[in-house]
Amino acid sequence: MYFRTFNHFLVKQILCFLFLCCSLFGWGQGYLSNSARALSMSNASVALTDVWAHANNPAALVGIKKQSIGISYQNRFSLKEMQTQGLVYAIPFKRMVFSLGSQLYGYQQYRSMKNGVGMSMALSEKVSLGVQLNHHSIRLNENYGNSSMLTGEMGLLVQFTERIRFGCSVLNIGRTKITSNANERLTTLMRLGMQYVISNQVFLVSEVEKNVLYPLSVKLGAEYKPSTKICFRGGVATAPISFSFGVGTTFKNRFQLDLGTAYHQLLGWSPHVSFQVDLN
Amino acid sequence: MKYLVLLLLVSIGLTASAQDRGEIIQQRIEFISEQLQSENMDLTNVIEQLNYYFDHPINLNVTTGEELEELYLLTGVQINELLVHRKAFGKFISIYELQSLSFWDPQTIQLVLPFVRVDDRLDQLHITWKEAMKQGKFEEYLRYLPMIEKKAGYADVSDSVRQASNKYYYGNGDRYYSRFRYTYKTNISVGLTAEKDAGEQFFRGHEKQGFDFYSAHAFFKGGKYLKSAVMGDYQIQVGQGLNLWSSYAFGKTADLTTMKRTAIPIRAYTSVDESRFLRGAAADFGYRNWSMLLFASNKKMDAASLSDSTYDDLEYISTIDLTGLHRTTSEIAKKNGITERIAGANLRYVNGALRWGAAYIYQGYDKPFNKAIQYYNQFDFRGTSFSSISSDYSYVFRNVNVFGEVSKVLRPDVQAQNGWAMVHAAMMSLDPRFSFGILYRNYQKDYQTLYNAGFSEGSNTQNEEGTYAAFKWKLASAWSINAYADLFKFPWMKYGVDAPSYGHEILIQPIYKPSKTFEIYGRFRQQLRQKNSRDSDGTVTEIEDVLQRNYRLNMSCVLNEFISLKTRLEYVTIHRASNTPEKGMLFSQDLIFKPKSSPFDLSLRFALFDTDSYDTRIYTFESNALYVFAVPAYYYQGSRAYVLLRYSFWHSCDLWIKYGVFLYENRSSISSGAEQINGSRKSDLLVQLRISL
Repeated sequence: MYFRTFNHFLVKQILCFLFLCCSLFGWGQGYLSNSARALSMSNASVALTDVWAHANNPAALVGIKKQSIGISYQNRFSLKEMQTQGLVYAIPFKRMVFSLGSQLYGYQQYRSMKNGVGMSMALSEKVSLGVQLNHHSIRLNENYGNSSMLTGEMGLLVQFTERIRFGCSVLNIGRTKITSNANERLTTLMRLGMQYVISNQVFLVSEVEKNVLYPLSVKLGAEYKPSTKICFRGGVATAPISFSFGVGTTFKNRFQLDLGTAYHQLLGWSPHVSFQVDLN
Repeated sequence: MKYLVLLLLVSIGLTASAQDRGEIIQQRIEFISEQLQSENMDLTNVIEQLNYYFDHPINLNVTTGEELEELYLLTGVQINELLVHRKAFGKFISIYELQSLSFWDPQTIQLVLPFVRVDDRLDQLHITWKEAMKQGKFEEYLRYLPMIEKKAGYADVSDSVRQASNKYYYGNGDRYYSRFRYTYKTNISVGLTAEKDAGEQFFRGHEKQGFDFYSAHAFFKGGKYLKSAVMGDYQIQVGQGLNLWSSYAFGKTADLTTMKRTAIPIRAYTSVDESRFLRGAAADFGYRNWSMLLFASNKKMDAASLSDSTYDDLEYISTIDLTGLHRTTSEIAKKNGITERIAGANLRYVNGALRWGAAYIYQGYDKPFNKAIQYYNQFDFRGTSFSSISSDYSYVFRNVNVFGEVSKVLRPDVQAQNGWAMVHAAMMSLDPRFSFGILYRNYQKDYQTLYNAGFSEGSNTQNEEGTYAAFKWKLASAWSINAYADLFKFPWMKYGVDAPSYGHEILIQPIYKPSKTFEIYGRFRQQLRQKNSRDSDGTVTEIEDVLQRNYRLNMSCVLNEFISLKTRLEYVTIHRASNTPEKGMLFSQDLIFKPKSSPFDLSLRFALFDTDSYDTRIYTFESNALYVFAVPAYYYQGSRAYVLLRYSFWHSCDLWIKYGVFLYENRSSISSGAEQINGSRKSDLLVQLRISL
């Protein structure tokens, strides 16, 4: 209800700010990159199966075998106002995987939070499905109040052949509004991608992503694992064009530390770090 | 029986490669030309290299790897793997052993096969005068390109008019070329090249000495301590091309292996580009792992000079002309206006997979060079002389090849303009089916040397920062994909760009080749560059994004032993804010007819093109006589057709005749100024004769 009381100048400023957030990686208003592994492959992550699938494609959680927990931190364009903290947890049961996730973005004047609960299950040997329910809250500076809403998200994962896996996900499938009295909606994203395993050491990922507001983005990434302990990643994405790369290291077979960064031509570097542990 | 099968296999291999010879070379040239986007270039050296190794395949049991690099078909990782394999398992017994190397995929082997062999014999070098005369090869090329449609510059005017204006040419419109060369293996080369450009005089007037341009060399390679030496005209290549690289180099191509420069210290010069070479003497000495290259050059170049009004005797040079054309009064006046002096030393160390080099180059002129200051060129070199230093490296570790170069200019007079440049890169074979490369370069705005060819988007190794990544992926037996992305920034203004700017280039090329006789590929290329807006109000010129997209579909097919076909469809669009969107398209069909036992070869093309403007022109490679390169731009609306005939006779002579014609729609004149042709037809004729003994 406070949205109408914005003076024109402030609206413009905030819109610019939101535009910046959204256009840069196509994530806006709570949909942000979530693991350094995904980011270092330019977020072509819709077909990747790790605990972070909670935030990429809920169906892809089916691949995990152990209880797993992950935390992440990103500093976009090295600006302290654009920090993201994330936490995910997934637990596999006999027929399905249950997941929880939380993501915090922003600073004092603009903060958004997303808490979600998801479930994924195998429909057949090759096809699995995931659904997720998220609670979002956006809080602006005290004069402008806050808003909260629910969104739904859905994903599919198809193990096409031994080497090829397709993934598809839709975020904010119900096109939820931010407030009831203005036609402002949380953004909706559709992602379709695949993973192609070249060998035990190398795989490629590619993806197209359409954000309802922005041009289609095409992404391509690769991971190279010369040994069981270390891996290197790289990627490139269009709209806007950016590079990314990173390294990951696994120790004691259950801890994984990933470092990654994306590079935007005008805005510079976005470092990202994430850590995950497999339990039991 | 076993031997028979082997023989059969080898002969199949060889015939297949014989068909590909032209094709491989053609592809390389296309790569280069697309990058240079220039209609007139001379890449004789590159082709000579491939042609030479085709006739004299590299012996894999002897090679040190340097020759393999000169092919431009292999990565450092692949070469290193071969050397390591040979060390571990001994000499190759058969060429088919290459298949056991993990980074040599069948496609690479296929490409390289025509240029390599496996032999037990050692190539000992004992040059005796008798043998050199007996086994050496003499070659003479004569080329004649007459003017067909008369151009405005050849109008019949009186001498006084011609003298007063720069619109009329002194000579006739024909081009003559002659090249004589004697070679003995790759070890000795002696040659003389002469050329008269269209519009230049011949044995009269300003050209009493006959041809306008002469180039000669005597070259030796292969001594124990004197590795190579040259007198006359030559090329020098150092490191990754930042400091000194007098010849052309590959730019960004669909093939990632060309991101690495392979420097060949000394090379004889046999082309007719009248500025990009060195003239003098050079020698490369070697002792164990160390080599030392020393060279000096003193060359006259075309330049316009101005004299200082306050000091009558002080003369300075305002422009240097690199075209090498001497047709009009002003062009003739510029001839030999300045002497360029270059000298340098390059120390190199090789130890297995490690290579390191350091170089010092002095470069300067006999008169002060002082071109007019503009905002964009204010950091360029002005004065009499300067020097530059550099260091380069290359190291292969398992499946990764890292290489790079760092260079700095030293201008003692202008301390503030001592810019540096660097390039660092890694090329990896992550899997036999997947190679990946990444390159970072940063060239400062005040870095400049006279001849360089560093990896860059712009035409010079100057004022640029960027990252390039590429991969080559063999998906399945018939499918492969090549792709690259390049992001670059120009931290200072450029010619035609009145602000710092940035841009990118993306290319993706899927290739489907189900058999040796059929190939189809698609190519998408997107280039974004920033240029001055055309909507300038005369005060501040803004820059705008210029987005160019090229779409290509290319199909080639060997129908039978005699006939092959090639079809190409290309479409280009350009979007910019200050102009309506423009597009262009080209549709071409080639037919190549090569009867096996007949002395005749025939190539035919018919193409239709339709482009909205000159900006949306499409460059496309044309077959031509040996060592002639033409990548003309097709623009406006019309058709292009050519016939190229080759006739071999008396075992030692080849004759090429090419006739081509452009027919334009809705155009009553072509080109402008002295080059203007009245009418809608532009044709070209080339006759070349080769005699080799």
